[in-house]
Amino acid sequence: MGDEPSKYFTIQVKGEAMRFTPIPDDEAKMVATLVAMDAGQNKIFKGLMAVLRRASSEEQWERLSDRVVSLDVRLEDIMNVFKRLTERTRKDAETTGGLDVASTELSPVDAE
Amino acid sequence: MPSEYSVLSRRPLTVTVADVRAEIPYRPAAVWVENLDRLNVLAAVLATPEHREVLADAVLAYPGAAARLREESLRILAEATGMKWWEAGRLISTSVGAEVLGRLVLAGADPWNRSIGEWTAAVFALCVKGQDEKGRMRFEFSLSLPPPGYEDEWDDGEDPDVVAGQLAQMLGTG
Repeated sequence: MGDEPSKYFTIQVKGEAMRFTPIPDDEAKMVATLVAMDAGQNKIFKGLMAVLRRASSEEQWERLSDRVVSLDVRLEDIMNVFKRLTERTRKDAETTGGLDVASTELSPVDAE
Repeated sequence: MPSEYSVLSRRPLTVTVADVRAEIPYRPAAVWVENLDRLNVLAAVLATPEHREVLADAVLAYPGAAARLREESLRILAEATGMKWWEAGRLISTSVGAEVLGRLVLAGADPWNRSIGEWTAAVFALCVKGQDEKGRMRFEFSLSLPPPGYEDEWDDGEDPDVVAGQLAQMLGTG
């Protein structure tokens, strides 16, 4: 394992408080890309789980994956956690200038 | 290999994302237009379902593949239209405005039967129709301005001094 992360966000996952490290910009973009391209649900799920795995401690990851296997936590719950986590990461970057989470939206193509 | 004649092509386009090659079949202009709001993933959206899944696998497996997919999406838009991707994007956005779309339809242009290259060329022609030289230059200049972050791609191969002179003339300061 690497160095202990210096920052966590606590997010409720269906009644259980869990701690996640901020989501790096490229990982947020990876999931946003899968969603935008209408990838299959299993691929979006895999992407989300890969991101949350990297943002979790080993113990928490085991706990979270157990809940997924038992269907206590579903795709929409995982997506909700991801959205809240990316939002928290973005707001944190705005206020502290810490992690650079650029918008995944395209610069608008103006009409004329 | 794209050429100045690519705008008339009905051949498939090819994209490469993280060593994965995917083929984009010919799609009429209407399909490109309705997916312009997904420019970051345009190549995947226009691909066959099988190739879209292959591209999704690449995005999942390789860091940086999402960024590469965006680059390839912009590249095929440029290739299919024979112009910068932002110029094509602006003309496509313009084409769905009521007046422009109405004029195109009344003139017999059907986005379901035209390539995106033909469609953007038709919009361009409509926009410069009846313009004097100054008006046309102003339109072409505003069309060619790259969006923020893409200034480095604004290489039209022209001498900057000549362009500055033309601009000054256009603005009446030369």
